[in-house]
Amino acid sequence: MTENQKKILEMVADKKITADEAYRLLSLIQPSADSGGSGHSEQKPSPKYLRVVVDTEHSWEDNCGERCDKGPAHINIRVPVALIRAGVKLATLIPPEAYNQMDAKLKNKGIMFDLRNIKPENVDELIEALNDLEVDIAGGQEKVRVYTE
Amino acid sequence: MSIPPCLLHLRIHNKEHNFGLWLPLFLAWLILAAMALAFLPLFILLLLVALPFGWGEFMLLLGPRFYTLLCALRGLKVDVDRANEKVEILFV
Repeated sequence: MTENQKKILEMVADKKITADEAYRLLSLIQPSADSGGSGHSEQKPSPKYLRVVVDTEHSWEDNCGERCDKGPAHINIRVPVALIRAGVKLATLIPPEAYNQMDAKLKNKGIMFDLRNIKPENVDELIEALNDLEVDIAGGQEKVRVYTE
Repeated sequence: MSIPPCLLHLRIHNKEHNFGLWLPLFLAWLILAAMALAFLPLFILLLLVALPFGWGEFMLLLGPRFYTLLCALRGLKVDVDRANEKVEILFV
């Protein structure tokens, strides 16, 4: 019996909560109790790599006289998480004038994205979130998968 | 202490070529380190000039941040596989 389960039963004994409420609380903490036995869920190790896998049915090439189809392509990129962190830290050194020019260029291309909003702490949060998440995009003839490992 | 990747493995496979290359990146780092040492006095001079204009922090941090970026390249792998063509790049 875990600490949390004991506390709930004590609250029932003290008539602080009803049996129904206790049942609901017990069912809520059940998954974590089952997985660890100690009431704490196991922490995944922090990811080391970000994997981007792109599968396309057609890959186009321009240098063959005219735009020609080279058939299906498979692109697999393994990016060390440390490289993302280092890149963001390096980007914080970019002078504000350069940021303004980049923003203007991005807006011209219809991308409303402020690079100044990306901070090293945000990247850590994003990577932690990716640890539990797998992005899977399948659109038309392309399939993109982003996950950490 | 982390060090930048020492080798770059490049593998190209297509109709005409099929080869793998191990490029000694550590030689490039050695040349870069020698150049950095050679330009150090000039850098210090520029730093002293730039400090009153607020560019000192930028100049001081640029080197270490760039070095961190180089070190983090270790493990980067790009694999492109297309009909009859395959390119693989790996930083070791």
